[in-house]
Amino acid sequence: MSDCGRWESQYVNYMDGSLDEKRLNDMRRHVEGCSHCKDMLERLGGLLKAAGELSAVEPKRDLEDRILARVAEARATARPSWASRLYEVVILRPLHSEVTVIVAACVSVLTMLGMFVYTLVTQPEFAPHASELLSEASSRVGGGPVLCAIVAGAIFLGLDLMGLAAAPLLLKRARGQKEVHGC
Amino acid sequence: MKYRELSDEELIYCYASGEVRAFDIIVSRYTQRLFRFSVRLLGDAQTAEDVVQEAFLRVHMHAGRYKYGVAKFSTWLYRISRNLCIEELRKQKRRKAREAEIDAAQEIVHEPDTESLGAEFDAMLRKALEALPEEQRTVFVLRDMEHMTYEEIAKVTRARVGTVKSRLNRARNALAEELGPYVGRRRK
Repeated sequence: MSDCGRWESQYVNYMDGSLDEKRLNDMRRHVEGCSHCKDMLERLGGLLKAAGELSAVEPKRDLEDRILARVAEARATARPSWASRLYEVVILRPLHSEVTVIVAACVSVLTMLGMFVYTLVTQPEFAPHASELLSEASSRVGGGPVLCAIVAGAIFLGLDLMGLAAAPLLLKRARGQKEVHGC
Repeated sequence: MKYRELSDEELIYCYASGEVRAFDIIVSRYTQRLFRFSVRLLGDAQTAEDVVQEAFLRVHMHAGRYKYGVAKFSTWLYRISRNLCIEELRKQKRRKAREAEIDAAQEIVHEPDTESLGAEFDAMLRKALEALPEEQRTVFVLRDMEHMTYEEIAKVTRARVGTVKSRLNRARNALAEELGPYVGRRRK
């Protein structure tokens, strides 16, 4: 009995069977000679059995219907604040849509490409080397400098898109979300 | 789509994405379990039903915030319910302080279920359970009645596994002491 305090804290592990062999043997030896611990362990065994058999209290039958009705009502009357709507439209939806990311990337790359070509054609002094290259390419391949710039730009655009197509997948992986099919 | 084949986590993701019917499956899966859990913490069926309704309402409101892959949906749901039960217990405590005469109302009141609550030992166990501090009661209910793992209980209660075990130990010892020889006799 004198040693009981030490073993009482181990009842959970003893009943779970998670004590290591040495402790288990020590405890068994103690329990064999200790009527208090023996009695407590017997009571605990009975308690767990009783807890498992405790008759289930059932909710009223219409509880599920009431929950669904209440949630449907909340859904119908919900008016999100302008801030949450803005967050939804500007941040959440684009993040969940691969198409949005690709379209945004295409628009930005095409805009840059257009500005680049426009600058080369109208103001060659800003980028003399690029303008020379463009003139040389157009004389070798044929077609005007604008056409050559567009072809070169399209190649870069293709490479960019290949990289950007992976972005949403990486994004989803980073968010720890797996695909839910058909949802 | 066959929603019933989806996991809880997939269902809540679907619901957050606008699939309203996914919520019906979640409700049908968890209503009884949450009710049993709440009634054992609160000791009152009517209040437990209110808590379950409120818990699902909060799931609906915060479905978009559920962190997929970080915690199990059931852990999240039990945590919401537990917090609501604690809130309710605090309210009850304040009410009791004001109205000492409602002590008698501590018995579980639920007309359709009076028959199932008849067994003497069940009533004793319920009463002893109600007398435990909330933290110990929660751990006992989750482990010995809902059969959750220590790790899951630790997440629901936001405590360490060691703390969970020590609370469980104290709860079991207190109940075994309280129910005393009745438990031993019943076992035989």
